[in-house]
Amino acid sequence: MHTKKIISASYIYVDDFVKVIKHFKSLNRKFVTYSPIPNHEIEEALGAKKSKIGLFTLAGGIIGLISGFSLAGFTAAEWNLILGGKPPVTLIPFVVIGFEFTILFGALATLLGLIINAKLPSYKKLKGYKPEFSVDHFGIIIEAEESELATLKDSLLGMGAKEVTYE
Amino acid sequence: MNREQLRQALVGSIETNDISIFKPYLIALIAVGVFGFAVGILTGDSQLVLQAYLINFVFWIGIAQGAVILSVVLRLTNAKWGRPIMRLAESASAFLPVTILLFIVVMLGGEKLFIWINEPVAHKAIYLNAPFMYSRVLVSLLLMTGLSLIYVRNSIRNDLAAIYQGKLIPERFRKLLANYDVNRIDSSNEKQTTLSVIITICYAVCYSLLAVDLIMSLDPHWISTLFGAYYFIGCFYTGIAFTIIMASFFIERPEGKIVGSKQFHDLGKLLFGFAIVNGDFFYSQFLVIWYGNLPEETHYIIERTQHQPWETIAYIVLFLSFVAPFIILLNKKIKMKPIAMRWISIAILLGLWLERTLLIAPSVAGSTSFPIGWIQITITLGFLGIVITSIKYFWSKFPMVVYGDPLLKYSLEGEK
Repeated sequence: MHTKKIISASYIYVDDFVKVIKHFKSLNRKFVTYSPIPNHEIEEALGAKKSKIGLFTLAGGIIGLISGFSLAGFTAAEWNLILGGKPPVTLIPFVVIGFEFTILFGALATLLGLIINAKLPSYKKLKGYKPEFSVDHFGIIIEAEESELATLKDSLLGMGAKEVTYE
Repeated sequence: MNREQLRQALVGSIETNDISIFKPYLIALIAVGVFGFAVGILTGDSQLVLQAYLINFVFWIGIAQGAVILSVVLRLTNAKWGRPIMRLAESASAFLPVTILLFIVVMLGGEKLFIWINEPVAHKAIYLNAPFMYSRVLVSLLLMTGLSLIYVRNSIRNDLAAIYQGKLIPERFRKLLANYDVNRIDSSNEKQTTLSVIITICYAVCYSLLAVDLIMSLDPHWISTLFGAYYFIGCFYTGIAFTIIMASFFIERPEGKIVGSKQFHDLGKLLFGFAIVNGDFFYSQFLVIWYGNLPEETHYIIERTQHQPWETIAYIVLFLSFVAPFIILLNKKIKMKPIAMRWISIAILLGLWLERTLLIAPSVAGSTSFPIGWIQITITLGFLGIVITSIKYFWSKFPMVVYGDPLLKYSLEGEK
């Protein structure tokens, strides 16, 4: 029976990290990356599919827009406060409420989308994760056979890894 | 594209460009404009002709100045992405000196346009009288043109010095580069930044004055405190749209490769942002006037949004300058496509042109039928001809990338 091992390597520089990602992409290997900051170069190198969170935001925004106008419209129709001879239900001032609701619902839906897409809350221990991946290091985690550990470690260090550990 | 390739492309373009600017189609455009103007005056529609002329005047000065302001803003914000398109934006400054000549026609026809010249409004006569108003406009135009040209000239000098460093400078640039000290590029860049701050402040002040004098005073009883800001924000918006159109043609030139999809993406984001800002400035005025419901304020809005034919135009303007760009530019991929962005920008410019029509036309000649006929179209074509001619002149004469700019390295290969 062969056992799988987890290799975790940390990098300080984006350029090195992008090179590593491109290298393993070209080898068609599966890996997980961690970055303390969002970065376009890393995103491009990963070639990740477009996030679905935008759709949540759009749906939330549209629902918010409709809710805002409806809330203002229904309350105005219910109470008929006639001021300055203006009709109680008019679109012009409701734009403000519609706009605020669009933003509120859009933001809340984005948060919801984030939680659903990231499968939070998660209680599993992350394999190979190190705390510095959330501080000032980029991390890449690869699952590997025991036989290829040494070569992988060498190539990771060769591409500028600061530290490589097994688990 | 690396630094040496860019230099070769720039030198190649500068030295082989066709400097003869009067292409047959440009002469034809300008001739159509002059013809429309002359025939309109002779057949007695002089008020309509002058009205169309004023609409185009405020529209095109806004575009040219707005584009220069885009370059100024890119410099002030140290925008690395925007360096490749800075000179493109600056090239619109070639139209600015012409605007002063074009304003003479507005002055000559002033009596037909500005109702308060013959029937002064008593309590506003101190401010709204012809000599004071013309001198205000001329000073604003001269100040903005002067500052913009100094800014562009400094910028070009830095680039030429960098391009021809240690090489023989061609004959026609020697005068421009006379008494230029190559060792002081850094301090020259600093001066440019100081000048940029001055230009931005003067832009806000001068273009507010222009908006009040040339557009708001057409209806001397109407007031809106936000009107100046509304106009200069709209001008900046058209400036961005126009820069995108220029960039979509610029990428066909050898040095144009430096403008990539990243620049179009970022310009698209800026255009999207200003579509919203422009809409916001309109709504901020509109809502306050609607709530206040004061007759001296509402008559202006009612005429333009509830009476035909202006009502139709008002909805077209809302659609072209806000709703359509907002929905289309949400998409990321379309912002990276030069040809798509060209047509979106043209639609936005059309929307803003109609918006200027909407602001000006009901106060001057008015109309009961659809207010765009051969007079408006020929005069617009004439203006378009003049703008393209002046920009072509700039493009064929000067290096079209800010080669000497220290931040350009972020857009070049092999440097960072």
